[in-house]
This record gives sequence, structure tokens and C-alpha cells, in this order.
Amino acid sequence: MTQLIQELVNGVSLGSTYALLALGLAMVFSILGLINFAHGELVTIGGYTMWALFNHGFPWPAVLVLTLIATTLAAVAMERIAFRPLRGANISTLLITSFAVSFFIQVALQIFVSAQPQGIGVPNWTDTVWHVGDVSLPAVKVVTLAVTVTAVVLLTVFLRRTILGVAMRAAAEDFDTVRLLGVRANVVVVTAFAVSGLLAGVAALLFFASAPGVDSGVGTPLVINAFIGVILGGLGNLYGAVLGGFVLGLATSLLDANLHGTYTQFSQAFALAIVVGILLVRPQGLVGRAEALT
Amino acid sequence: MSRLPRYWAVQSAVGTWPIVGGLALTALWAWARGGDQSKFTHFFINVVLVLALQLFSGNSGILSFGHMAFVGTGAYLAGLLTIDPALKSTFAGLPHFLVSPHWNWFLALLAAACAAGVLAAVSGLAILRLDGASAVIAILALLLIADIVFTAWTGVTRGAGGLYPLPSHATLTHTLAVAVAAVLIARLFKDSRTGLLLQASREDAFSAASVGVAVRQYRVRAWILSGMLAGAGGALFGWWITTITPANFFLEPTFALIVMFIVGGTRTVGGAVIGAAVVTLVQEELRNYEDSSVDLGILKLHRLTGLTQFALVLMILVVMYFRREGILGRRELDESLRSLVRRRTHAATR
Repeated sequence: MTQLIQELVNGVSLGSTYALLALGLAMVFSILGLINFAHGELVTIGGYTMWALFNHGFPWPAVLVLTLIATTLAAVAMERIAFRPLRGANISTLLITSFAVSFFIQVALQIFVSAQPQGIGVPNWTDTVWHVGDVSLPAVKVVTLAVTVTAVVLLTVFLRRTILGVAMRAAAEDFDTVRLLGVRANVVVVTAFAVSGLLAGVAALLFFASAPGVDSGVGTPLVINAFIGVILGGLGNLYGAVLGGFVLGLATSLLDANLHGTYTQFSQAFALAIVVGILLVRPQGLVGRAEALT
Repeated sequence: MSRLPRYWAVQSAVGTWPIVGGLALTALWAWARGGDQSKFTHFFINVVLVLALQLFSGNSGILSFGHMAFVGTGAYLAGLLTIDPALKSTFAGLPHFLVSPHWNWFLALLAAACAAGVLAAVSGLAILRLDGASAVIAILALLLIADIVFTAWTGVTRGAGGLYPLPSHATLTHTLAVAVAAVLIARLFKDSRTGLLLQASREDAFSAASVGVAVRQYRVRAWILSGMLAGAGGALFGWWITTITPANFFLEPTFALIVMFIVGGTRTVGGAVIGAAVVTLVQEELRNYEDSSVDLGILKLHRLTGLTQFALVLMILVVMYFRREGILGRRELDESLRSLVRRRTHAATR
């Protein structure tokens, strides 16, 4: 029992990272039809920002704020430079461009920043472990879950209670009509990217608090898993994306703990195979695409 | 539905003459030049790989990021079937039925194609139930699964340390023969009934389905054939590079493959071959400068890690922003030439 709870805690923590990224991806996808591969590089950029700031002795609250600003600005810049000229292009064009942008950022980081992995000097309190009965809860994992839940709640409030949020939900349904109603397209699109960048920044902070270090390729597996979370939940549904992220995280963690010997290394492969299996039965995803953005 | 012309297969096969001619001339040049021919064999192998991708993605319109899973399967299997058994007996954990075989290259190539075909059949039944963006991501999941298996199944693949030394079966003759076969297969498939119906579904899946095209069935057929071709290409790739690691079949080569596919034009066999030529040229010419240092006066770069990737990124961005149809556009080379000649004669008679 204790062990099961332990595994669930690990799974939920891993799932939180996927869920935060999946949320940003689903948001941009539902408005622009863009599968943004370069989303993973936002996490990488967040990681390098943390590395640079911590190694220059910045206190952690400053690092937190500056990292979020860096990833948000990076996401907005990405939209402005790479994707705006292609607004309205078909899905393949957008997809290939985002794949290219992803590699562009990776190569740029390799050449101009560092080709070797770099350790991040995170504060010591991230190593704290709390004990509840026999279950040991690493502080980072508890914080991760709490932050993720808060982020989802705040995002819901934003999307339901503000004019801009409502406009974004409408744009996810039918962008052309929303523009006809006098909402400026660029405002909606830039906001979507900014929010996705902010969420990626949160994911980066939580991820690198316990990851051994940052390298230029660190974002790619994360973004692929987040994408799988998105389609598992059902494309175009934000809560589906969150759910999908958590399911994938839990599946990976449970398989990781319960497979024996050499099979442990295959746990992620099994988790992915299970997800594809679920899609075989429910191609529209767990939540289904009938419902749109939130 | 109107029928295909009676001798469509002959017409299509003959229509590949500019490409086959080009490949033959390249081979002649390599033979005449003598010396190291590995650049040329690399080109022919890239032709096979990109045509495998073109066969599925070009006709169906579903971009595949997963073909390197088939290429890897082919490379590992063909490698294991052709490495000297005396050497293999020293590999710890290799299943016994893989230790004894010492096949000739052609049989191993066929086995690689079949194994990749089986993987395609199994994965295709699940993945191709999905459509659009979901299908793209599910195919990507296949690549991820394959990478994990190549890395973790150390008994067979030797893991990240790599499987070596594979015999150098990728000679100019072998690769040329397979490349020409791939050109014919890709072109014949494209002009076949299945190919045409699949292209109809690429243009408008709903309309195609509404007039009775079994879209999913045709997609699965293309996926399997494409997987087999990729497996065969993988076998050649393994024998060319002689040491294979999981990284040879993950994201960077996937990106290179996509660039080949896009740059020349996704809809044509000729475009794919031109894309392979351009990318091979970039890969081979920039290899010497990889990891070198550059002094730009104000800026001193110590190690240009990922220079080839960078060139590929720039190429794809240029194509995406300025010429989305690729170099060739919609028509095959022979079709363009024919219409050019027709226009000339038309103008002359008038």
C-alpha cells in the first residue's frame, strides 16, 4: 500500500510536467492548428535561464520571475518571427516549420551557449523530503502537483471570466467568426503563445528543480510525451490535455516500479504502447473532441 | 470511375527515365572518378529512404516522423544476419537463432524489408485509425518506442554502444540497383489505382470517402509498402555506416529525411530524388567542418556542433517561406518535359 502511494506520487509529479506542457500545446493547437514542436525548446530555454541566473548567485525568487519572463518572451518571439508569416498555412507546413524552429533553437544553444550538459545550482530546500507515515514525499513533487493544480484553476478563471479568455475560447471554435466580431486576431494568437510560454516556464522551473541538468536536447522527449498526452485526452480539449498528461505520467511511473529487471528500461515504451492501444478503442481521445477549448 | 490506361504500368516505368538516367550517370561518374565512392552510395541510400517516405506521406498527405523506426529495424536485422558468426558468438545475450546465420546481402535485404513490413502492418492497424494531427503524433510515438527498444534491448542491438562491425555490403552496384528499384516501385505505386485513390484522399479525405474510397485501407497498404522499402534502405544504411547506434535512427536523421522529402517537392518521385541529392551534398560537404572553430572577427565560435543540422534547418525554412511546393512542384520530370515540348510544338505550328 505504502509503495503504491509512493508510485502514485511519482506518477502524478511526472504527469504534472506533461500536463503543463500539454495545456500550452493544446491551447495553441486549438486556435492555430499548429502542432508546435518548438514548445519543448521553451522548457530548454527556461532551463538555461535558471542555469545562468543560479550560477551568478541570483536568489531563487528572482530566478523564478525571470525564468517565467524569459520563456513567455521566447514564446511570443517565436510566434512573431517564425509562425506569423505562415498564418493560415496548412497543418503540414506549420508542423514542418515548428520542427525546423525546434532544431534551429537546439543548434543555436549548442553553438552559442554550450554543447555539454550543464548542472543547475538549485537551492538546497528542493532536496527536502517530508514523511507522512511510511510514505516519503519529496518537497519538489508536492510543490509540483500544487502548482499544476493552481495553474489549471487560474487558467480556467482566465478563460471563463475575462473578455480575452472568452474570445480565446470562441477562437478555438471558429477563428474567422471571432475576427468578424471585431476581436483582433493577433491579440488572441499572441495571448495563446504567451500563456503557453508561461506554462512552459512553470514546467521548466518544476522540472529542473529535480533534473540533473540542462542540455540542448532536453525538451524534445518532454514535448513528445506532452503531445501524446494531448491526443490521449482528445485534441482541442484543454482538460483532456491535462488528463492525458497525468494518465501518461502515472502509467510510466507505475510500469517503471512494477516491471522487473531489464524490463524497467522498457517502461516508457510500454506506456506509449498502452496509450496507442487506448487510442485504438477511442480514436477521439479519452474526453473526446466534441467539446472544444474548456 | 474512369479506368486507368491499359498500359499504365509501362508508361509509368518508362516515365522514370530522367531519374533513372540521372542515377545511372551519377554511378558512371563515381566509377570513372574512382577512389572513395562512399558519398555516392550514401546518395543512393538516401534515395531509397526518401522514396519510402514519399510513397506513404507524399500520396496520403500524412507526414510521417516514424520511418526511422523501419529503417532501424531493417538495419539491425540485416546487420545481425550478415555479421560473421564467429564474431557474433562473442556477443553476450544474443539469441541463438541470430548467432548462426551468415546470409548473403540480398537475402538479408529481403528479410529486413519483410521485418519492417510486419512492424508496419502491426503499427499501421493501430496508428492509421487516427487522422490528421493525431495520426502524426501517434506515428511519432512509434519512433519514440523504437528508440527505447533499440537502446534498451542490449542483448540484440548492443544498446547505445552500437552494433559493429557490419560487413560493407553497400557497394555502388548494390545501392544503385536498390535505388533504381525504389524509383520504379514509388512511381508505379503513385500511378496505380491505389496510389491515385490515396492522392484523392490527400486532397479531400471526406469527398474521397463519400465516393466510396476506402481511405484507411489504402493508407494501410501504402504504409506497409513504404515500411518495407524503408527496411530495405535501412539494411543498406547499416552496411554503409558499418556501426549502428540508436541515435542513427532517432530525431536528427528523421529531420534530415523530412528535409529531403520537402525540399524537392512532396508530391513527386523526382522531387524526392532531387531532395536526396541536395541533402546528401550538404551532409557530405559540411561533415569536415562539423565541430570546427570559426573566427568571425567580432565573434569567435569554438565548436560548430550541429552545423549540418543548421544548414538543413535553413533550407527547410527557405522552402517553407518561399516555395512550399518544393523545387519540382506538382509534376514529375517527364511530365514537365512532355508539356514543355508540347507547348513548343504548339507555338511552332501556330
